[in-house]
Amino acid sequence: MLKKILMTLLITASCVQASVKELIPSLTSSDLNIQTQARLDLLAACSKASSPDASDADRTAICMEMCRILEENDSVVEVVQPVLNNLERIGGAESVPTLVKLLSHPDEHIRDDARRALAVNPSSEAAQALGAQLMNRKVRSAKTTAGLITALGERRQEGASKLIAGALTSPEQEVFFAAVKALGYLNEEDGVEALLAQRKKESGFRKMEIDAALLSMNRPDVFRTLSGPTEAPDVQAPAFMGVLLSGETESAAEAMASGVPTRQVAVIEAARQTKDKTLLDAVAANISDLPVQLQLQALGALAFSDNRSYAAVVEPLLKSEDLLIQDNVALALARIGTADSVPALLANGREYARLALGRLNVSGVDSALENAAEASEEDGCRATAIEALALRGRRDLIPTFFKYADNGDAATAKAAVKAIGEIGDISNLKQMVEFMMAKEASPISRDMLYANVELMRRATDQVEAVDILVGKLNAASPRSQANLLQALAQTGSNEALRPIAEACRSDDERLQKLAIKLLSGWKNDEALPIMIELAAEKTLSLADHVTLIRGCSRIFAGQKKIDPALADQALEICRRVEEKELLQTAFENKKK
Amino acid sequence: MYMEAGSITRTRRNILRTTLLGTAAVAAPAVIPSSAMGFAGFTAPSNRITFGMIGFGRMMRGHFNTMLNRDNVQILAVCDVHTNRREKARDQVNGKYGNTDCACYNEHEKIMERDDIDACFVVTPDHWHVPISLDAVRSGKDVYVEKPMSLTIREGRILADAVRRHGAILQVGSQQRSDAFFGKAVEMVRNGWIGKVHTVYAKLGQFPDGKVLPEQPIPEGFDYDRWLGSTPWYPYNAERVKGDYGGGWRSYWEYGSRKNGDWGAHHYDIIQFALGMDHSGPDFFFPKGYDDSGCQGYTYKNGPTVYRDFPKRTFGSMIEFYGDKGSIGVGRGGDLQSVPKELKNKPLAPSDTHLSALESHHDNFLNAIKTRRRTIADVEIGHRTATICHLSAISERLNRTIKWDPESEEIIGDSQASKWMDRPRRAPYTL
Repeated sequence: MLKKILMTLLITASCVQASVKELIPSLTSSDLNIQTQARLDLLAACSKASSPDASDADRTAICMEMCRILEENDSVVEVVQPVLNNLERIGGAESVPTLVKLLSHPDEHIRDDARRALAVNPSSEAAQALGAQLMNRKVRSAKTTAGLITALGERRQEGASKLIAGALTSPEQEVFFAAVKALGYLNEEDGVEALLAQRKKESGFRKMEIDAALLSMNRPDVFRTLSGPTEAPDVQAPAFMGVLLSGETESAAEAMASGVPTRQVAVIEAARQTKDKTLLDAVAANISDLPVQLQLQALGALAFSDNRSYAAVVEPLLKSEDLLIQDNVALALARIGTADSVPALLANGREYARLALGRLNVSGVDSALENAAEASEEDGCRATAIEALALRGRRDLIPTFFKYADNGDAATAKAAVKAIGEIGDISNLKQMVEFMMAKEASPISRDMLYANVELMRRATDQVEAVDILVGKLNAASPRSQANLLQALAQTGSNEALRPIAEACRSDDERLQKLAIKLLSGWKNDEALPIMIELAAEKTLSLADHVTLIRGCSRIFAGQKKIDPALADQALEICRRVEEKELLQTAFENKKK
Repeated sequence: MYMEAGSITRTRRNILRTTLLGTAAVAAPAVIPSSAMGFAGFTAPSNRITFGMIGFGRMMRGHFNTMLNRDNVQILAVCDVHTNRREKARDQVNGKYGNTDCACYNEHEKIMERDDIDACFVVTPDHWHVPISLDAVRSGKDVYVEKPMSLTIREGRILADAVRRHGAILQVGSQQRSDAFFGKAVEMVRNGWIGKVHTVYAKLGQFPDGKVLPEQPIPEGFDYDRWLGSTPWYPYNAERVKGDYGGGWRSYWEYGSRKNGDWGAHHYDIIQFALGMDHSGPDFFFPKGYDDSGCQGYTYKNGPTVYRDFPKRTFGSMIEFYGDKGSIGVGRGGDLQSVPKELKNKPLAPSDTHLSALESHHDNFLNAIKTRRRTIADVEIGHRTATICHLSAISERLNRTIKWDPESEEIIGDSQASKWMDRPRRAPYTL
């Protein structure tokens, strides 16, 4: 059996030898494209040899070959670097002797590459080599020492804390920080003791790093030590939270009642992270007495508890003098509110209260809102209720919204029109267009225009939508014609372009001028040939011609690629030098 | 939306002192800095949030200009490894505020040492995202970090744990989450409007291979060693460090997960969001050639298969979801299409899951700093999305399938591929 394995290894090794060795000329080629490809080929070979389908003999063989190449070519950086990088990824015990040799390489970058390869080499030999290097008293740079410490820390090398702890007293910043972080990763008793002792001597950023390392260890005993009242708040708070997160929640109620923000903030954040009922109850019991900043945080914790029993605690804060609190209460009630929350949210009426009413997913809300929408105009909640019903996707109420739009007070009518625009579809367009025409002098005429634009914009059949508006154009009053054209223009669709272009040739001067203005403001490229064609017409006034050419210039300026034929055509039809120059500037800017 | 302009420049830490002394002094005689737990939930609404801005490449432009023009924000420090970039930024800040207060650093640690800075923007290349964010969180600051959140899976987990431990707020720059059209698409999928999703397409595109480059002299005023940070040393070449959307450092594996990390961080994130997998992920990754699709991809347990750059997409959208009752295409610039067509216009009912953003990505971050709510692109979400980016990249790079356990966050049955879950760091850079 052993013989068979050895034979396999030898055969595999000879195959690999051929393939990796063949790459050396390419790795040193003066053609950098060939070098690049050789590196990719080397990566592919190593990947194949280390895949789960391959045997460890395949991996060992290619690693041994790479080690041989490294030792034979150790002055050729173009070879050493890529080979070493691959050894970093797939190397095992067989690679360690070569890597250790390279730790003394004259090139500092190669030395560091070798150290990194040892850092992720899974063999115990690699760990021993790194430890031995660190213990070696030979003179080396702080950077090298820091690298060795980091390597032991990154590989979570058991027992390494003893080797590293002494570096905490190093005057070199790199060594100190590497030691602190490594001890944090290692998370061993020796390291904890060393860090706790050293932190007494430190201040500022250095102490902050020690504290971060200690907190990262996730040890209840460390959390308890650091959560004492004499600790600075920036340590005490996360440490106390650590205590709570480790299950010791009995002190939460006392902490929340203490009035000490450092303790309170820890309870609130722990409640947010765990949704633990004891913690949440403690937060809820004290939320009304918290300072504003902590109230905000507490609202988040209670909101994400998904526990509606906290709604009654939260709701009174809707009357807070602080608008930020009000909005965050509304957001909380959107998640944990009940039907009982509806009156308070309606009374608040702010954007987030409306949103909460739109999302509150409990029975009784719809009927409460429908009643509020029907109610007397004096209580001032109708508009809020209508908007909330729209946010709840109540398309079935669109006929009712039309009724409110027709006979409600201004605020109610405005809300109703907006609601139709937001949740209606093309089946509501004709009615809304007719409504806009009938109420053309109404104070909400602009709202109706926006609603029509929204309905058109969302229409799945743009041709049908445009036809609905075009069908109304001839019989409309000048004012309504203007509204209809504006609605068409604001959709910006290609289908709307045709009627606008036709209106540009209308005998009605007012309509014609408005159409020219709307067309010249068109954003899409499709308008360009139409604008050029119109601008070329001799019967067009100079003012309209100029308006259109300026529109062309704006579209050209926004184009990624200008059609030269269209550009020439535009220049050709310009009546004045000014517009010609404007176009030329746009073209020149594109060339730059 | 929530904020009021602060006419007086006071930092959050300062207002904390006055607020707490005024309201809680009896019970809490100690003055509490806002760095208390990074749990810095003590921002008074009228107060400005103070920022350190780190990394002044292309991506910073939008963030910097937006923050500079906000009344509720004050930039106190800028940081970049390019001297000219940071000095230019400093001059812009000082010019805007009419003073000379803005500090200018080469090392981000100097921002972390300051207790008058509340939060920072980390807009560096990917390999610096976690080291800087981690230092920020440990020093009590909140963080906006560009996508993908991490360079490796392991460091992403370390940051995610640290954010919770220190009670910090973190937002990842996957701003598609805050876009109304992506939000609507996500809601449509999550609420089952297209039935059970079986296939998803994501359009990422390709970067050229990161090439071997000739050595060039390091430009004066550029700290190249620090730019490289924990990544392996390579000779300087301008192309290697270039912040180009079409290549530059983005095309090198050393500094990220290439297209899987670049666009994948956006689109895979939306897919996670839509499938309700924000705190989990797929369990199987495959390279090109695994099946007859000709695409790289991954599969969720009992869920859909996601294909990268599938050529025959129905809608031509950036992301397309296919279910047994319909399909959806969604992309930037208001692209939202559906089959059936009317589906995209259906309003949500209260019983539906509501996921669309209520505010812009920046507003979400700034408001979260004040309210201490999780951001829409919270650290755990960012970590899980980045994990998909990295596993896809590992599968692509090793040209083999990867089995993944999203619960234990381990690669199954492939010890060599598992090593790619982290990258050993160049000395003296640590995490």
